[in-house]
Amino acid sequence: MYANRKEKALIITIGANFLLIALKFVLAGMSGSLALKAGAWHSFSDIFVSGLVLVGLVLSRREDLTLSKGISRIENIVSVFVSFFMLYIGYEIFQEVIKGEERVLTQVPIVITGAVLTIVVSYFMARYKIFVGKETNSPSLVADGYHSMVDMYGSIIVVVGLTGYLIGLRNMDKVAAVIIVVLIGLAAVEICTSSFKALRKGGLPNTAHRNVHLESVRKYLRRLRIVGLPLLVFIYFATGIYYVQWDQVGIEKRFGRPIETEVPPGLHYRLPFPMGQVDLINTANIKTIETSPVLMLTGDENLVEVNTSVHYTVESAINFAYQIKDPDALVKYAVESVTRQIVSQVGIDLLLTTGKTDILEQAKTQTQEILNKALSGIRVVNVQLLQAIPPQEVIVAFQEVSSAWEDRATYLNEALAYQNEVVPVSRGEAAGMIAGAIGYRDQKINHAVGEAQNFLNRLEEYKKAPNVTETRMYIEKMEEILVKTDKIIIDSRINVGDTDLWFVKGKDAEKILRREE
Amino acid sequence: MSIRKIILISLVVATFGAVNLIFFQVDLTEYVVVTQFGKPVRAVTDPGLHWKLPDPFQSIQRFDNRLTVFLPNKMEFLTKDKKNIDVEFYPAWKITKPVEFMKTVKDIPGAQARLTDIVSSELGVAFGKYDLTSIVTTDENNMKLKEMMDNITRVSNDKVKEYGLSIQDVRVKVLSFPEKNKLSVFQRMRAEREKIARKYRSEGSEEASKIRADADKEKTIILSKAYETVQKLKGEGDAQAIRIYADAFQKDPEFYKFLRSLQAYEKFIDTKTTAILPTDADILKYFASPKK
Repeated sequence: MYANRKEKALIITIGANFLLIALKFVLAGMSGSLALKAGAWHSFSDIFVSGLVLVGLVLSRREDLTLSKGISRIENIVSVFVSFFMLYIGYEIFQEVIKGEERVLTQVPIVITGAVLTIVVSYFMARYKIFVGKETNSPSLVADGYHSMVDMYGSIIVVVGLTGYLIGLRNMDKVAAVIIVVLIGLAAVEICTSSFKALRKGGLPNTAHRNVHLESVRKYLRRLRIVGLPLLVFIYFATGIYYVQWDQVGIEKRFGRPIETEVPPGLHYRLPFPMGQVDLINTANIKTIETSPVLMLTGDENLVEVNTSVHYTVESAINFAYQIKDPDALVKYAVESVTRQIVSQVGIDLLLTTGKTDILEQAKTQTQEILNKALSGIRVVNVQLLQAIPPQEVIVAFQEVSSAWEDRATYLNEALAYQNEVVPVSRGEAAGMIAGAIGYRDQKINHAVGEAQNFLNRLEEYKKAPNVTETRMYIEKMEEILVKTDKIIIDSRINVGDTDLWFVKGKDAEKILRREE
Repeated sequence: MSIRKIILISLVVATFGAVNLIFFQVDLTEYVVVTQFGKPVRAVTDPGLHWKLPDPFQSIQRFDNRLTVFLPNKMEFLTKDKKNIDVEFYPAWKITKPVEFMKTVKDIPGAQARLTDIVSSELGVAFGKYDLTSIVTTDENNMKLKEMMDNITRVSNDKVKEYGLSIQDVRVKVLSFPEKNKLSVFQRMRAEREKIARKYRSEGSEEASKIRADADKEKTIILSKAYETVQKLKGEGDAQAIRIYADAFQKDPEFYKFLRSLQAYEKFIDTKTTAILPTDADILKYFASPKK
């Protein structure tokens, strides 16, 4: 009867705990509170402990010891895994906490109300378990009641954290989360160590001590106390050691006031937090800022899409760290406004063609001027024009201009080709003509000289016997000529003046003559 | 746990709490305002360790004192020549007097709202005084924007002093036509480009024609010069031949006549010729009767 009452109490509280966990996860989701999330996981550890107690109670009722031994073995192994799982969850939440971004929580007042409700539920569950445990003389149930008590404290911490957030202490939620993570870790360590012990000795994990979180830790602490305090002090002061990388400059501050502004690379010491701090500024890297493409008005009121990138490096670490809040934004805005200013003073044609280098040089100088004025400690390495193009809407017209320019070149080239052909060809022709003329002249002269000489030679011989020669030449020539011709010889006694002579000549002569016959 | 231990621990906690509630650090990058029951009483602008009465009597608020830039939304203004322009500007500003800042604008969003109001109204007035061609121009002497912005920076800086702020610079980041005007600008740009394209093509044709004409001219000159030379050469040849012939034939013109005539007879009397010879022709002197 006692056993049944105990089991009933456990089953009721396990059910209640499930609802509690569900509520906590819902609240965590609503608000984004890390502490609530951690709290939900801590409640999970509570359920697990209750489950272990329940199994223990059920097994203790059984007669069959071998079977219960086997089950308890499985129980122990599961316990070890669960404890590791919980350690992992704790680590995950801790990671989220130290990620550093400021978390913005929502619907905080409602969530606080919900969290207060979880405190009440945990409290009554704990009371109920302790009461039943005492009534039925069950130390494990009493111990489980104390576990639930710890869960309640966790919920209280959650509420404190959320309230702190509400009044402006933004990090209270994170601090609460860390505390609960520590609680989860302790519970996990406890379950793990007792499960190992139980695995060695047999039986179920011993969860029957009041403080599931600290029982094993407490033993170590006792030993630690002797060396602990000096060690802690030593570790605290050792946190003041810091290292400046080769590409960095350190600025050492004490209570926020800089005391050493150019700590060189190497190992150094400052007072530990919160007395001393150090800021490490990277001065060797060249950073790149790129502006997004934006339509700019050129000096001749055209629109051009321009974007630039600027490379900068840190020249004065102290100015860079303490004079300006957001260096990247400053550089970006400065280069953008400078580019716009310069673009608004040049015509679109210059901008799109040959003016670029000049513009970039000006942009660099003017950006540097702005950054100097802001005491930014930044040196502009260079400014690059990533693009300067006409807007999409008119790009076709611009392409048309370039093809017109190409056409122009084509026309010129064709004309030049014509010129290159015509002039040499005519020169050649002229040379040919002149050569021909020279030939003609020389031929004339040579012929003349030859013929003249021929004449003179003949004249010389002729003079020696003019009459005979003349006659000979005459008759020879006549002979030569008359041998080829038709000849009609008429007697000199025929008076040619009174006589009709008929000649038939040419191609019809034969015909005519034949007809005559 | 003994009573002594509890007292000791409480003492440590209390001391730690007190130290935390009384002392505070001020970083180089911040100003701190000490408030008494929510009312600002003094500003701490020196970096280092400072003290105040413990909470809740006095508490502190921290303000970043570094120069910062922020970008208000794009705005539309009207220039003197009634042209709409879209402007994006940014002020570079910082907190100079934290107490005034806290009393008047309270926080960063408050300050940004105030800065936007003041600077944009100054910009509105200033743009109304200038033509667009004084802001966007290729003529350096006509460019008035820098002068205008310097003036705006000065005036705005005076106006934000009472809020504990200072404006170091106001700059125009984007200056363009509003969406609705862009279409007509694009139209104009296209027309301009077409004009240029046509100009290039006709210039090309013009140049090409010039080159061709030039080539043709050169051709004509070359050929005519050659013709001149040819004629001279031929004349020279002819003249010399004439002289040479004359020199030779002069020696005995009768003989030349005789020879040349024989040569000519040979040429022009061929097989088609019919010669009618009377028997008393010289050549036939001995044809009819032997020696008389």
